[in-house]
This record gives sequence, C-alpha cells and structure tokens, in this order.
Amino acid sequence: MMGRIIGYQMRDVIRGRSVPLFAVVLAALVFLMTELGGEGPRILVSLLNVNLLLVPLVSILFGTLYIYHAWEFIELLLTQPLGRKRLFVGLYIGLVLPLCAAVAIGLGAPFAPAVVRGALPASLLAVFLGTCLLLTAIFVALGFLIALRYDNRLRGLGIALAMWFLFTVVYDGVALFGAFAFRAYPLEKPLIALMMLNPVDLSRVAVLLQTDTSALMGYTGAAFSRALGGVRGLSVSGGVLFLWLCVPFFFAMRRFSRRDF
Amino acid sequence: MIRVTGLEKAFGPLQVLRKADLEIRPGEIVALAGPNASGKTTLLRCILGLVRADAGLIEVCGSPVDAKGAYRSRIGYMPQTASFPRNLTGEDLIAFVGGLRHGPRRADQALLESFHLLGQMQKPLRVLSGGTRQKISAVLAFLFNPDVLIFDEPTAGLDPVSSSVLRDQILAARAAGKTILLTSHTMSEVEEVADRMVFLLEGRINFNGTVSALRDQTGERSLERALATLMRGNEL
Repeated sequence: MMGRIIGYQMRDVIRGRSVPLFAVVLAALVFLMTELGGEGPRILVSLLNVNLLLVPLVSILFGTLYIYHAWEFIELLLTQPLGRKRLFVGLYIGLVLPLCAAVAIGLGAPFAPAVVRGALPASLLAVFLGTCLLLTAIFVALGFLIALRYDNRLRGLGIALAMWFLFTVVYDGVALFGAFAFRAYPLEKPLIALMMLNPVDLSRVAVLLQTDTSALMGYTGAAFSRALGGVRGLSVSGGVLFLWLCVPFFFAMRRFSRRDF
Repeated sequence: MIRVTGLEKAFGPLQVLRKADLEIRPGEIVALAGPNASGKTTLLRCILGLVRADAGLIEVCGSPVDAKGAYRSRIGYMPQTASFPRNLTGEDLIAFVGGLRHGPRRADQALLESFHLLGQMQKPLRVLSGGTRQKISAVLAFLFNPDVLIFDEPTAGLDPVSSSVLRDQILAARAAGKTILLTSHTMSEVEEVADRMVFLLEGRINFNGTVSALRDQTGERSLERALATLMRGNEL
C-alpha cells in the first residue's frame, strides 16, 4: 500500500515541471563552472558552496509547499482505510526520491566524464553527491515538520526561509564570531561539536576533507581531519547526518499521526 | 449505520461539540444543518477520523472509530473542495485510491457516463474545471460501494444538470440501503433528499427530526425560514 502511495506521488512530482527544472538548473550550474574554471576537484569545491545554499533552500521549500498545496488531498487520503504513519512515509518518500534523483542527475551526470577520464576522484564525487542527497532528505523533512506545525501558510513559509537562513548563513557567522572571541583558547573540539549541530557545515567539512584544501586549514584542519577524515570520519559524518534526517522525520511523523486535520 | 454518543471536542478554549448524540440508520439520509461555526464540519471530521474527539464514542457499521482506520473502508466521502494531485489523470486517481481500498482500479463506465466524465478521465486533473473535478470526487465517493456515504456540500460548484445527477445517485444509494450523512446550505436540496434534519447550534444538537416536524415546530412553511426561526428562538 505504501508502495502505491510512493508510486503515484512520484508520478505526480515527476510530471510536474519543477523537479526536472531543478535538475536542469543544477546541471547548467556545473557546466557553467566547468566552462569558467576547468574541471576536477577545484570545480567541485567551487560548486560546493553554491550547492550548500541551493539544495537546502529548494528542499525545505519543496517540503513545506508540498504539504500546504496537497492539504485537501491529504485529508481525502486520510479518509481511506490506511494508517497515518504509512501515509506519511509514502508521501515523504514519494517527494524525496524524485528530488534526490534530480540532485543526483543534475550534479552527478555532468561530472561523470571527468571521473571516467580520471580528472576527478570517484570517491570525492560520491561524498559530494552523498552529502547533497542527505541534505535534500533532511531539509524536506524539516519542511514537512514546519508545514505540519504551522497552519498559517505565510508564517510556515517564513519559518522555513528563516531556518534555511539560520543553517546556511547565520550559524556560520555566530560560529566565526565565537571562534574570534575565544581565539586564545583551544577551540578545535568545541568547533567540531558545533559542526555536528549544523548539517550544512558538516556536509561542507566532510567534502573538503576529501580534497587537498584541508591541508590549507592548518592545525584546525588537522583536528577536523582526525575527527572527520578517513573512512572512520566519513562514517561519523554520515551517521550524524543520518541522525539529522531521523530527528525531523520522526517529529514530523508524530505530528502527522496526532494532529487534527 | 452511524452512531455518535456523547461526542465532545474543543479546539483550545473553544468548545466546538458538546455531548452530541446522533444515530443514522441504513437507508436513511440525514442532513446536518446549522450556522457557521456550529460544529457541523467538526462532527463530520470526527466520524471520518480526521479530528480526534475529546470524549464520546463513534461507531460506523458497528466498528468504533479508531486510529487504525479499517472502518473507513465502509465509508465513501465527498469533500466540499475537490483538490487532487495536479499532474495525475482522473484514471490515475481512481487507480490510486482503488489500490488503497483494495477496490476496483477502474471507474464503472455507467457511473462515469452519468456524470458526463467519459473523455475527461485521461486528461491531467490540472486542466479540468472545478466542477469536473467535483464530479470525479463524487465518482470516488460512490465507486467502492461503501455502506456509509458522507457528503460535505456536495453540489457546491456543480452545474444544475450535474447537481441533479448527484441527487439521483444519492437517492439511489438510499434505496440500496446506504447510510447517508450530508451537509448543505441549499435548502431545496435538503428538502428533496433528506429524511431527517439535525440542527447544530454552538456544538449542541438543537433539533433532530423530519423536515415536516421542523415546519410544525416553527410554524414556517419554508425550510429556510424554519431554520432561521429555530436560530432566533435560541437567541431569545
């Protein structure tokens, strides 16, 4: 039954123009960067910052707007003989899978020739795509949570945008200010802990540590490399990002199961 | 059969339903009426399981209304607004809902024809008019041959011909022994189809009887005036 929900949900999302357009925009971005600055890890690192803004923004907006737009249809589905949790999981996966496919195709396909030529390590592309896919799933779950929490659509959209801004811009500013204010103290461990509290920063560091750029980060880079580099570090980053996915997903599902429609 | 006993629901400080009791038997059409914010929609939503009651009991065909939702396979529901995924076709939608209910994956051709929907079902739902989507919503309510039918303002947005077809379908369902609950602001429609009226005011069932009993009680010939008199009587 859940498969049916996922299937029809995906059919609806893919037939709409937004998700295919998102894939095209991402691919165009890769081609543009390649035209401007060559190929290989350098382009991927340049793209990283753009994607760490774009992917969370699009995902959180898709998640929030989907729930608001489909509200009456969700009510109709809730009058059918199926449990609320199943319906929630079906709706979530049905939206996340096409979005993830758009991210994977839009960012992955243009880099594939560079990987084949050996100009770009496949492991770096895999970490880059993996973090982008996890960020997509995390921010869609956050979008669902916000839409299910706030009935007022304008307020919900405002909170979604504020949350994106917090994770992508404000958090870094506050962390930087803290690092500057307490520069006399050893901050590596607190900074690593702070990193764990923001999935966008964690993704950035996880990708950067796969490149030579980490060598330029000095002692801090070495500390990050010890904590988050290598296979063990990647597993830690992946685990924390997965936790970041589970928490909003769980709270959104709980809200969906308990709330009045 | 629908049986509601001592139903209570509050949204924050606002008490919306106060000890509501209601029974609708098979082969009966009951119209739920009342002013805005009287609790009609909340009562419907409690029966459908969209809203959880604070107290009281609801049974649909002998099964209690609970979170598992199996009882909902006995209900066909037509909401006031037909809002569907924009990029699916009518055929997709029926196959989708049919799959969830383990029911037919294709609409009955006679049912589609009665609503003049043949030729519309292959089009994406986004290109269909509001009225056509409303007709598809009606088809969905009837399609799975449910024992209980619930309509929320069913003819709102329908043209006169389609409204008439829908009323005929509702009457045919009554003749087939279905339990039917509807809300409508169109009093002529209520007069035509309803066996009984339930009038809600501030969450309480204020009147529960036949249309003729309501006329006798208020001394008004028109149903609209009779309801207005009932409301004024409660204000005094």
